[in-house]
Order: sequence, then C-alpha cells, then structure tokens
Amino acid sequence: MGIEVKNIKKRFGKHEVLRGINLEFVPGKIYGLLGRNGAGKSTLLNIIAARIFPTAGTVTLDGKTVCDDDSALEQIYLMSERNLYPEGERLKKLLKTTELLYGSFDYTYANKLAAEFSLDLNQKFGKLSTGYRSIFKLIVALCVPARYVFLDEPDLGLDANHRELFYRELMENYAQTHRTFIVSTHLIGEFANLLERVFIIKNGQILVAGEVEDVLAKAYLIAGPKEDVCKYSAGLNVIGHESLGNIYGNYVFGGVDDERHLPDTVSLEHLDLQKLFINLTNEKGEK
Amino acid sequence: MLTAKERSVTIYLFKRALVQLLYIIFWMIVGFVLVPAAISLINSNPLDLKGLLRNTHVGQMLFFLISLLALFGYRDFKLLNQNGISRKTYWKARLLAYFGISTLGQIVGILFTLLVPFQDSWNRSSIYMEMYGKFFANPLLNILAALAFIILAAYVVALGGIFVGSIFTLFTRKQRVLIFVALATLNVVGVSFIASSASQDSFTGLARSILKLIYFLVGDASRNATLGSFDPTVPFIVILLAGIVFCYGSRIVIAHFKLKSE
Amino acid sequence: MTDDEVKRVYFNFNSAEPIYLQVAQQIEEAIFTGSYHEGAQVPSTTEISRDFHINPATVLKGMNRLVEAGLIVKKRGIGMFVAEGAHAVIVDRRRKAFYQDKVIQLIKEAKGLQISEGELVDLIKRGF
Repeated sequence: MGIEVKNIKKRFGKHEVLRGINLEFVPGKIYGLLGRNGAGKSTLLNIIAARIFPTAGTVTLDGKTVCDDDSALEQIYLMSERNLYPEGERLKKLLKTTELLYGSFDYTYANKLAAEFSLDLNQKFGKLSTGYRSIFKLIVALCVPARYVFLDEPDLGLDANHRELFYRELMENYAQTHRTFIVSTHLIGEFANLLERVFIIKNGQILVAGEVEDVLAKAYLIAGPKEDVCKYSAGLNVIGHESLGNIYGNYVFGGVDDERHLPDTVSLEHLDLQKLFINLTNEKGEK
Repeated sequence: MLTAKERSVTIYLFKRALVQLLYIIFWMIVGFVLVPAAISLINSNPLDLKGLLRNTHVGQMLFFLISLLALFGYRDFKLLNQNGISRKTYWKARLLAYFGISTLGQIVGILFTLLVPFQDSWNRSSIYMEMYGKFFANPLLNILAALAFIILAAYVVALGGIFVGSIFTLFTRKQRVLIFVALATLNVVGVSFIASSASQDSFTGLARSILKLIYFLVGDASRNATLGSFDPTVPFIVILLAGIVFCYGSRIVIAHFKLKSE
Repeated sequence: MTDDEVKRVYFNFNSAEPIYLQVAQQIEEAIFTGSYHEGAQVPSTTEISRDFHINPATVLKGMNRLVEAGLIVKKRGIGMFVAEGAHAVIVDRRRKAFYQDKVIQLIKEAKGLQISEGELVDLIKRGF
C-alpha cells in the first residue's frame, strides 16, 4: 500500500540526477525529503507526480502505475515552486477548476485559510508575490481531497508569522484528515519536529531513510580534548568534526559502542536533525 | 463510455475553447463593425452593412480560427497536470472538445448562410459544392455529402492544429523560432523550385507529376471532369487518413510532454 | 496561571533530547508544580501538536509514557486527565532520584571547589 518508488533513475543529457532511488510513502505519515540544492529532490517529486519521466524505474500507488492513470493521479497533489497556474486567472476561478478536476474541494476551509493569511481570492494569480503564490498553493494543497500531498519548498517567500501559521494549519489538517504529507524543505530546524520519517538524498541517492527518532538516536557529538575524543571515536563512523581551541568535537552517525568507557573529560550528546544533515551532506572542503 | 473525469475535462476544455473563440470574435466585431461604424458616423458615410454581411463567410472564418486555437494547448495541459489529470485524458478530452467546437462552428456557419439575408446561397459559397456538388445525381445526397465533408474537414484541420501545436510544445521557445524559420525558408525554396521547374523544359517531368498528384488528390485523376462533378472519394479518404495520423500522432506527442520552466 | 502562561513557562522544545521525552517531562513538570491539578484535563495530542508544531505520533508517544507511569488517564472520547495521586507519584519518584541526581552531583562539585563536608552542611543550612 502507499506510493512505491522503485529504482528511479533520471539523466539530463550527461548529467545523472537520480541514480536508483527506492522509497515508500505509506498512508498517514508526514515525511521529510531533505537534500541540498541540486540533490535531485524536485526531480524526484516531478517524476512521482508524472510531470516528467524517469530514465528508468517505476512509481506505483497501491500497486497501480501512476503515470497515465487518473484514479492514481487524483490521489496526488504536488505543490511546487514551478507555477503551473495561468497568470491571468483569478484565484477564485482556479479554485473552481480545482474542484471540477479533483472532484471536490473544501471551500469553507479555503475561505477560512485565505482570511487567516489575508489573501484576497479575487486577485489574479500573476499579481501575487512569491510569498502569496506559496500561500495560495498551500491553501489548495490543504483543501484538495488528494490523499498524498507533496510540498516542495512550501516555505518559499513566507515570513516567520506566515510560516508559524502554516505549521499550525498543517498539524490541524493532519490531525483531522490523517493524509500523507511529504515535505521537501531547506528549513530543517523548523520542520524537524513535524516530521515522522525522513529521507536524506545526496547526489541522486538516498543516504538516510527512517523514523526521525531512530535516525537521531544514532547521531552524536563527541566533544572534549582532541586526544581523548579521537581515541573514543576510533572505529566509529565520523561524519564531521569541529574544533574550538583545544576542544575538539567529532560528529558520529551510526551509533556508539556502549561497551566503550567514556572518559570524564569527554561529553557525548545527541545531534538535532539540522546538524546531522549538515554534516552528512557537507562536501569536502566545506565547513 | 467516458469516465466522470474524462467528461469533466472535456467540458472544461470545450468551455475554454468557446470562451477564447467568443473573445476573438468579440474583438473582430469591434474591429470590423463597431470601429468602421463609428468612423462612418463621423464622416457621415453610411456603413455598408449589407456588403459586410455578404462578404463574411462565417463557416470559413470559424474553420480558420478554431484550427488556430487548437495550436495552443500547453497552458491547459499545465493546469490539468497540476490538477491530477493524466496525459491520456488530456488528449482524449482535447480531441472531443475540439470535435464539439469545430462541428458547432460549421453548423453556425451553415445557419448563418441560411438565415441571414444578402448572403450567397449556401451551395454557391461552399467550396465543396463548387467542386463536387454535382457528383451524385440526387441533389440531397450531394448536400449530405457536403455537410459530412465540411464537418469532417473542419475537425481534421483542428486535429492538425492540435498535432502541430503539441509538436511545437516539445521544443523550447528558441528551438521553436528556429524550426519556424527553417520551415518558412524550406517553403519558399520549395515553391520557387516548383515554379522554376514548371517554366523550364528540363523539369517538366517532375512538375507534371506534381500536378498529376494534385489533380488526383482533389478527385479528378483523369482530368476530364467538369468543375462541380469531381469525384469526392479520394479527398474523403485523404482527409480521413490525415485525421487518423493527427489523432494518433498527437497522442504520441502529448505522451512525451514535459513541464518546462518557462 | 492561565493556559497561555503554562505554555510559555513549560513548553520549550529545543534540547537535543528526543522530543517525545521532552513532551512527557514537560507535562510531568506542570503536574508537579500544580499547573495541572489532579483530575484536570491536560491538553490533547492535537492541541500540543498544533501549538508546538510537533508530529502527533511523537506527542502521543510522550503521552503514553505518562499513561504507563500512571500520571495521566485516558477517558474515552473526552481526553486525558491528571490521575488521582499523580502528584504524590512524582514527588516519590523525584525524592528517590534526588540523592542520585542532585546530592552526589553537589558533593562532586563541592570537592572540586575544595569545600569541606562541614562547610557544605553550613552552606545548605544557610540556604534552607
């Protein structure tokens, strides 16, 4: 059940953007799809929503191939940075079209959200600022009857107050509908607690997949005098380090050895998702 | 036969095309009737409304406008894709919607000639009737054949618009301009080649076979029928074949549509 | 304390500890200080999830810890309530942990500062 992505590869000319992606979105969870710019997140989402085609691999929803199937596609809504809405169309008209094509639409909720975000639905889409385009698309995403809602950088152009409002509404909506949300974002710190599962994608491959809690349980910062830290972290999967004078810190992913004696001088603490992400996806030479 | 979704999309696209068409017609009326009327009021020359009505071939005009509209489908495709509609459904619905609108256009055209005075009688303004109107002995049969031909031809040309329009959609804006320029050049070169070969003895063979082909296609292979009693069989077949090619061609091309950032 | 004040004082989720543990700890703290009296309703999973942007599954996990510990009880269809005797349970547990967590730490710190036993006792008396 759910959306299954099997061995998706995508090549643009000589550039291999996705190199064999396998993942699954089961119903009723909030997923985070994290990756740096150019990691292939948007390409993957566009393939899932049948906007572009993979070079190889399949996407299925409850076992049905998504690509040319209306009954599968109507279960998916992809909100993306790319604007597929015609510039000259009024927002109200766009909501009407959405209702016609998705089969239903929650106008009461949409009007409530529009009022909260102070978005005037009589405007034309093309007149909206980047932030309000995001807001409009978010409103559609929350009011559409699709069971799988993909949000590709939903925070684009949103100020802190609007983001706060969005997180509230997302949680409220999730509590009521228990749909699946897949969020791709760079604001990891703000989204971390919202997510139940996470995929970290790097260079077109899935680097980390799992429950956020389990992933974080394996991520540590080992800090103290350099010698002691290095001795303690020998043989562990060190993904990064930092130093401040004599104090040295090693970022470790994959768990520590409980049998190993932790010296008094060395401290061991967990990482948050953002710190883990940064250290996992740093390129050589970046700090 | 149609799923609920296919029906909604067909209705949506039909309405879209109708609104676009009415929009164009509105501006044409403004441009060709209202503005001249206003001008005629100023310099007190009465507007020749009679002449205007006589010279307006509504059917042919709609034929042209609708096939032009058929070229531009990408905006609709984008919006439908955002709303979870598959390429297959988009294709099917677009074909159906344009069948509706082009048939409607031709019916309006015929009604116009029948109902509006000062117009030439229908069979005199119809190209089909001019060429094939006396093929059958029974005049009713000729009229029915003409109706079928006009509706079919209008639709197939609209299909051609959809097909060509979708091919252009595959390319970027820059590529489209290049292709357009290349085609125009090729066209000019081709025409001048035929023209020059027709005038030169050494190329008469080729020119003659091209001419022969044209005569065959319009239904006068033996070149001894009189205008009005040409055989419409070949034109019917040609137009049906073209329809089938455009139909499946557009399905294949639309299946390869990508969403570009433009 | 009003609800809003309760939120401001206690709910601050940013340490590196797992979020579900933080949820449990903060509700426990609120029961301990009397912000939630015995028998009073605690915020629902949805409310906490919405107001603090935490995945409801995570909140639920924290709540379930408190249910297992007997600090809160589920009333079907109504919500979660502070259990009778919850305060006493917390006090009892914290007393047991007091020596381990606080006293030993205190003595370790005192030794590092070369404070003698007598001096420490005097300091404690002064502070009381």
